[in-house]
Amino acid sequence: MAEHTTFTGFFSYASYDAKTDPGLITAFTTQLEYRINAKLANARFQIWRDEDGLRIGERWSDKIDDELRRAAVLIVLLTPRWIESEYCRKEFSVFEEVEALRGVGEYVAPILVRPIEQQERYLTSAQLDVRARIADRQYFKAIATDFLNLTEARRNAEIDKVADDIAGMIDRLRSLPRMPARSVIARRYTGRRGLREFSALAEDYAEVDFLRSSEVRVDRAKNHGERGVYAQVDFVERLYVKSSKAYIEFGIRHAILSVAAAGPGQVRKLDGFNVQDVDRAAYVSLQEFPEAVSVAMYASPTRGLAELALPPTNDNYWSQIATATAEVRADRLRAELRVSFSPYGLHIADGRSQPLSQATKRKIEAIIGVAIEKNERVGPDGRICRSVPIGERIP
Amino acid sequence: VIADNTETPARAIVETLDRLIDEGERHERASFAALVRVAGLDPAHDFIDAFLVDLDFRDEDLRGFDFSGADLSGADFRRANVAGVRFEGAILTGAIGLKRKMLVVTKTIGNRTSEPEMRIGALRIAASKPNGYATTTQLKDEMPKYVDLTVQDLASSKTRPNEAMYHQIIGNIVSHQDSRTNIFARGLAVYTGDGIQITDAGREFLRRRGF
Repeated sequence: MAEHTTFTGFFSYASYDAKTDPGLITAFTTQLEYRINAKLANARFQIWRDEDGLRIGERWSDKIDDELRRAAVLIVLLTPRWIESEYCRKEFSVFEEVEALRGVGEYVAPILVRPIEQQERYLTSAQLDVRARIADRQYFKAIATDFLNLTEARRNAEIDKVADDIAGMIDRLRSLPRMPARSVIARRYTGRRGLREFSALAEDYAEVDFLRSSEVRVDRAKNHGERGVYAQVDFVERLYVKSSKAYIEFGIRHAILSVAAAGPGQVRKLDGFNVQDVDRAAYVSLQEFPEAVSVAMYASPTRGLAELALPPTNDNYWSQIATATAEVRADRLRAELRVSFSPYGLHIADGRSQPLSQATKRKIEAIIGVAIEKNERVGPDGRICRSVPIGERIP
Repeated sequence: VIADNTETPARAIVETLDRLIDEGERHERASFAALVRVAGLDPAHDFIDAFLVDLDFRDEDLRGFDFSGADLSGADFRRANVAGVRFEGAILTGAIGLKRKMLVVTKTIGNRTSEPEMRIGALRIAASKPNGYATTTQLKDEMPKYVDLTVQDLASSKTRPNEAMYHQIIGNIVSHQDSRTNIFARGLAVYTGDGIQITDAGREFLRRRGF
């Protein structure tokens, strides 16, 4: 007989809602558990909820903490009372940490069973903060009064939709490789969510170029020895496009600077450059420019590429990226910069009649990211490519 | 031709954004393929190497898309029609709803293993070596340990009787064929003259694919 892995769903709810509508609790615990299990082969799912009154008072229970940290999925019965409860909000915050360590996918299933909009103006800032974080997710609407009046068949169909999504979350967990290195997944998490907040410093794409400045400098020739090749690139960290209907922010995900001698002599890689800061820059090889020394610049986990995109050498503004042989002339060097964009978030203008789901917003963000790159393309290889000015470096 | 293009093309993006919002508002679950059409993008070319993390493709008809090299981590493809969709070299960590047989587009007509599948094999071989460096001979010798080669891959080459058919693909990988998606253009490896050396970006690429 095959061994079954058991996945747990932590059921987060306000006790008051359980007393008011016990039918909801049964639907989204017992019946939901049955329906999820019906979709799984060689795995089992069970819902855990506090039935022992552990969540009384303000003291955080170790048992609750343990259950949250081993849960595969968090199921939230979203109501004004849930938002009000400090305990429920903490459950959500703790599970967000668990989710972050997985790196990809979302594992919270909020079920909106009572409207919250009318109460929003009375919420505290801490409550509004959690409200905003949970509203950013895909949620199911099962308003209690409507849901409990459905026929049994319709109600089962609604529960089955929730079950289908939770079964998908479990599928994703089963397909993920065994816990990659923590640093890798933490980086993906911050990269994905940390960038999603809007920045007051974003600049208008209609007014500014994404490239603030870029330059390559080469040491003056002396004594027939090798000379340093230095560079620096300053990007606008965040750009926005605003229309009457929406506002989207984006920035540079990664960039590659290539330098080559177009005349006599050679530009060579600098021993040790790779180990200066491998998370920020590393040598790569470009097929479309194979004779060049090319350096890729990567965005940091929490922000896009910005000023000083190349790690400065010796606390200087400039970054030494290569050496040039004595024959190289500054006016015969060729330097090019290639970039890729990444969207950070989409905001729909207030007052639009039809709110967009989070899934649709994500699709639009991704498509706009591709459209921006396509609009900017000027290189023969289909990448955004700019020539970079070159000069001599005067000591 | 490289041009200094300092004139921002924001107007076109604003118009595209508005069209996308209109389309999104028309449907409770706007289809990715429909949004792509509205944006005037080409499914067969524009989504190669695209950043498509955590997208919800459930119930979509994605036939005609090329997602080669795209980052599709966490994407949900349940009930999507992905017949013929290209995923070569795509990052699919945590992506769900893709049946193994759907991904067997990597075996080409004639049941040969594709170059993208073998590129990953080559990176894995390099990653297993000291300093991440593997010669072309090592790639040829060790590829069967990393990639499920077909009978057709292992057959003798018609033009080079001493070589198996799959050796030609390894030769292509090492000699920079297919510029847009090759491992050097994407910064995943460096050409060393007699083989490849995997970069940090290459190791990260493998980690994210679960290797």
